[in-house]
Formats: sequence, C-alpha cells, structure tokens
Amino acid sequence: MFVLDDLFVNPFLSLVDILQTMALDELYDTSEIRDQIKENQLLYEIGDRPADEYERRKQELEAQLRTAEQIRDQMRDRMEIKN
Amino acid sequence: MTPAQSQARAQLSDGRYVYCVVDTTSVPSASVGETTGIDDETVRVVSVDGVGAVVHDCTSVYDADDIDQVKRWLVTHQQVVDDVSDVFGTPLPMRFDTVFAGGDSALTDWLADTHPRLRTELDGFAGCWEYRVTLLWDPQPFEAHVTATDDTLQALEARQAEADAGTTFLLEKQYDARLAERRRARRSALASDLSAAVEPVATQVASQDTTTSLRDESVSERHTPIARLAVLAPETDESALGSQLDDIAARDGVTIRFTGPWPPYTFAPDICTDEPNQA
Repeated sequence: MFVLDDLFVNPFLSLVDILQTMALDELYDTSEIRDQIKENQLLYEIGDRPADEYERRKQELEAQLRTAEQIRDQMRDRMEIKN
Repeated sequence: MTPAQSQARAQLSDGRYVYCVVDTTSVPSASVGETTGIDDETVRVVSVDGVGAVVHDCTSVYDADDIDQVKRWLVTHQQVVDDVSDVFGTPLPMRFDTVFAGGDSALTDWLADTHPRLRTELDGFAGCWEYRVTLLWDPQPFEAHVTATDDTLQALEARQAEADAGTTFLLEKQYDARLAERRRARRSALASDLSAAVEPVATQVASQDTTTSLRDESVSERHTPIARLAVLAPETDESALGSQLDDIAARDGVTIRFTGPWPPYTFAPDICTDEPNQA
C-alpha cells in the first residue's frame, strides 16, 4: 500500500518519487502479472475457478497490466541505469 | 489537503481538477491536443493573460482504497502533464488531487489573483527540468580492495594470528571499526564527488533523504543508496549532466540511477499552500 501511504499520509512526498518507484517495481512485475493471467485462465479451463471469479480476476489483472505497461512507456526514455 | 481540497470535499458540484499551470503566452490555450485526463475526462486549459491552468471538470476529489485505481490516476496525471509540457514547455506542477470548487469563475479568480507570482515562477523555470540522481553503492569491491591494501587492517590481521582468544576478540573489534571508518569515508567521498559532478551543469541542486519508505527492487540488496539529488538543469544540458555522471558510475561498486526530465516537482513552490515542495 505504499502509494496510498506515501501520497496521502505523507503529502509532501513528491509525485515523481512515487512514479519512479512504481516504474521500478512494475518493470519487474510485468512478467509476474502475465503469469497470473495465464494461471487464472488455466484454473478456469480445468474447472477450479468459477466463471464469475475468473472474469473478475481477469479484468483486475488486465487493468494492472495496462497500468504497468503505461508506466513502462512513460519511463522508457526517462530512466538510465549507469554502472 | 489544500484549502481548495477541503472546500471541495464539502461541496463539489462544479469542480476543476488541476494538473499543472502552463505558459500560454505563445501557444493558444486550445492547443492541448488529444490528451485525455483521469477517468477519460476531457482536458482543457483555463487561461488568464498568458497563464493557464490545465484542468478537467469533476464532481469529486480522487480518493480510493484500491491501490491499482490510485496507480492509474497517478500515471494518467503524469501523462497529462507530459503531454501539455510538450506543447507549452516547462509547467508548474500541482499536487495530485488538487481540486478547485466553484467552476471556471473560481479558477480564473485564482489565476488573476496569483498571476504575478505564477508569471514569475513560469519565467524562472522556463526551459529547465528536474532530473533525479541516485547513487547506489555495493561496498564489497571496496572492502576487498581496502582489506588488501590498508596498512592498519593488515597489521591488525597479522597480530590476530599470534594473539590469544581475548586479545583476538579485541583486535577483531578494532579491525571492524577501522573497516567501518574506511567505509564511511568512502561513502562520504562518493557523495561529495557526485555533488561536485552535477554542480557545473545544475541551476539548483537539492539533496534528498536516502532513507525513503519507497521500495526499490531494481538493485541487489548489497546496493544501498548513499546519495539522492534532485537537479534542476536546462534541457540543453541534459546530455552534459549524463556525461558528468559517467565518471562516478565507472567506479567500483557504484550504480547511478538517472531519471528525467521531470517537471520541477522539487523546486517549484506548492502554489496552493504557498510552501516550497519537499521531496
């Protein structure tokens, strides 16, 4: 819950810190979200997940993926790691 | 929460969510383009004498327990700021969830009342952007080098080989203290060198707390942030700033994270509360 905590509880924390950290997280989370989408699909197909739960989870994960990809697009030309 | 937000929570029939303030002197305020705002709202510019607030109409403030929803809002907020920056140049950023009650008339009153201040700030930041620099350090290569070359450490190690158990314990404490002293000195030197490297191309530099609560999964656990700088610099000096960082990044154990350009979040005042922003 870092976004809520930092943005609303600590209102002086700047937006760029949060976006930057979200980008760092999401860059590494994208494949995990894709895996969860596959898992949800498989659970539904073998009958371990009811249709309504499958649909709800599918929408949730797809929204997460869109956000992650949007963040990645925003940061693509903005972040450089030098070492 | 800003005074404007407090008022908005109480009565918000004709709200204006404000993304940022831009200079509309040389670009018509209608040129905001195709960008869409939070929740696909239509973005427009309300302008008074060359100073424009980038807004969408709203009937509530943006507050949610759903973290993914908040993430989407934040990303869209930044996307709008990016899009209008491409058109109008460096904006004065506003805090996320800055909402004015009272429709366009309240907003134009505010723009008129604060116009001299907004104009001064816009002119002051024109062409400049914020860059973030974080120096992360893995001390292992340095420790390997210093244990092999530091005379004091080598002498302490040699004495340990011939000492009894009690003396060895004390020598180990001295060894650890000496190593920690060298480590601290190295951290301090790297932080100073980083500041010196960015100074020639920076208009302003703000040192930031390295103990952020925000997670960082991009580097190994051995890497610790030892310096975080917000750097305000002309856009034309972005490459020069990056080059300045290359020398620091080439040192053993050092990783530099360089991001930007960003609106001057750290350096622009919080216009609604009239306080400087803090990062």
